[in-house]
Amino acid sequence: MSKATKSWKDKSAIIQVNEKDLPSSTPPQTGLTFNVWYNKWSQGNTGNRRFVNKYRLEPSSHSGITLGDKSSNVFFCLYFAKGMCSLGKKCQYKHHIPEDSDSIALLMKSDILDCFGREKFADYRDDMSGIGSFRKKNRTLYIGGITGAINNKELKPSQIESRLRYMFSRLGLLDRLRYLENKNCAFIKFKNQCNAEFAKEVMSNQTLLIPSDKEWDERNEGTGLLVKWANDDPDTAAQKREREEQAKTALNAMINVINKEQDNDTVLKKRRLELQDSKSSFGPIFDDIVLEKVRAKFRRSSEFKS
Amino acid sequence: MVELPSICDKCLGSNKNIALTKATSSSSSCKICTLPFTVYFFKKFNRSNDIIKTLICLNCSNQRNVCQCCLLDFNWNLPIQLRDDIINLIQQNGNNTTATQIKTKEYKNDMMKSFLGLKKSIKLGGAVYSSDKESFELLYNKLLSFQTDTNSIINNDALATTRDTLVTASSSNISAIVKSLPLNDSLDGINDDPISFFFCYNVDPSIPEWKLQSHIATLLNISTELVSISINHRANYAIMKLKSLQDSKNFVNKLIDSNSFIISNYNTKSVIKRGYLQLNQFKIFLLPIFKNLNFNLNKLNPLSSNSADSIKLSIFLKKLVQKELRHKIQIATSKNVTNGKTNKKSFRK
Repeated sequence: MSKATKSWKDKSAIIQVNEKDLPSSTPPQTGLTFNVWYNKWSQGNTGNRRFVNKYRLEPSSHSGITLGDKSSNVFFCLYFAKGMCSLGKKCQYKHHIPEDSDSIALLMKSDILDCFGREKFADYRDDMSGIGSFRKKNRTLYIGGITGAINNKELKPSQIESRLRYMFSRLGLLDRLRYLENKNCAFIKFKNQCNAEFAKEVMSNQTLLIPSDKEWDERNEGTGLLVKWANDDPDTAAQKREREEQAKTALNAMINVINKEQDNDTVLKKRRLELQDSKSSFGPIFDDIVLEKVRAKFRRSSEFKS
Repeated sequence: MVELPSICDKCLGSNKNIALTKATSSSSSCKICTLPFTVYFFKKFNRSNDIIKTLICLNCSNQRNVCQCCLLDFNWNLPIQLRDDIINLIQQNGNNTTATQIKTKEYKNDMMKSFLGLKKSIKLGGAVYSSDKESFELLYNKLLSFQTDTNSIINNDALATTRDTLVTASSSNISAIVKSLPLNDSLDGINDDPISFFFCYNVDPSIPEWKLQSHIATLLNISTELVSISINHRANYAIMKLKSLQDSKNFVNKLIDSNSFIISNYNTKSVIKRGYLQLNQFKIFLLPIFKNLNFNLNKLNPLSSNSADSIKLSIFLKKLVQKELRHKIQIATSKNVTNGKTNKKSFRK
């Protein structure tokens, strides 16, 4: 439908960084001995680990078709998201911004892997960074470290907000964006969870400076954005909205289940029986009468038009 | 006897022969109960580079009736929480009440996690229904007599009351912001003065930006990237920008062609023509922002962080909408003698 989606499907992905130009995987020396197991220097101060990523994903020019699109792979390239994939079109993972169809494929694939195929955890880390939890469908990101990302440049709140909006709206459809001026942080909610996962990797440790700023050349001396998972919104109205949204997705999912059970794949059913005799499969969960009933309810309410 | 892992059809794929390998040298700790368990891994087909392995233990997967690899429900292929929500909906006849919710309880404490993980042959939350035939039949019968009142799921009344109480407490003044709004501009002027910005109000806080964006993009048959929208959900307004002037002209013409506008004379000075968009059950009102006016987008921006002002503005806009609808002039009646004069005047302008 849109121009950009057409363009990435029409071209093959480019090599973002040549292999020989990639930085060494060994971090700069901050201690006396190097621990090969943890890929870290020990015996010394750990130093400031925050940095600004030298590379950045440029969605329109970097995306394209890879080997991953031709195979049955559903995951995205983590290096592509960080702007440093050296494989280009030969990469086995996808090189584009996650779209609605990708989101559905990922949801069908697994509940425990993120959009890069990494395993999620039961609980969040204490600082809410990292891959995240499989217990909660979190679509909201917390953006901090804004002062460091603009190298202490004096900017109006509206300028910061528009910069954030520009950067993040390129990485997926936004649900809502809220910049809190007195806290100097922002909350960004995406339409799909996979876009939040993707955007988190893209924007972590990135600068918010733009080439027209006079600080642009010193951008690597800043500290980069902190992108983390957001906790639940304490606002009661927001919580209520969240519950309504959840009920809506449940209703929609119910329709999908009903539809799926209608065209039950007999081959797969057989296969399941072969592997686990103990588990009984019930066959079609819902028959035509129920399906029609539920559909009629949906038609009545304009809200639930798919 | 070897205990086979429970893996769903989706993970196994359609291939007849799969080499399922048992990881002999190492076990892994279960993602849910943190206890060690035997890991199996396999590929859907020989040359696949996607190695699928079991991530939770057999007991945890049985307790929740989910696949060990993807954590989706065995019979429905849905995430645990979503499955529980659906069962709740059916149980409560589609009424989204919080009473007696079925929920798969998970512990935060490591000791409690493994304590629960050691319990054999129990079913947690929605697994009771999706794994057991008898309880499932009960649920099924309930669905047969499914009587949903969908209105009970969407209920915005409570929201409005909380907002009103908040505002009486605050003593902020929004008159400066209100003055800067282009509320006296009519849609008619667009032909003489091309614009790309629109001020939208009566935007319900439940409307996400992408929905409005894609609605406008499909209306104009253009890419979503050419429409940029920024909604202030607290103040119920949005600023819309169409990247090309031709698009905004088309947009206004489309609104007028499809009769999506309201003419009102609420402030008696002039007659104002505003467009509106119907998005689900919500009506979003639109006004053009002309360049020559002293309206400055920056004046609105302090609102984004000040919630008291935002709520006040949202109530102001709500009242405005009500006023406009009260003073609405029907197009059919506009030919009448009473309204004819004012209308002609405005169209000439």
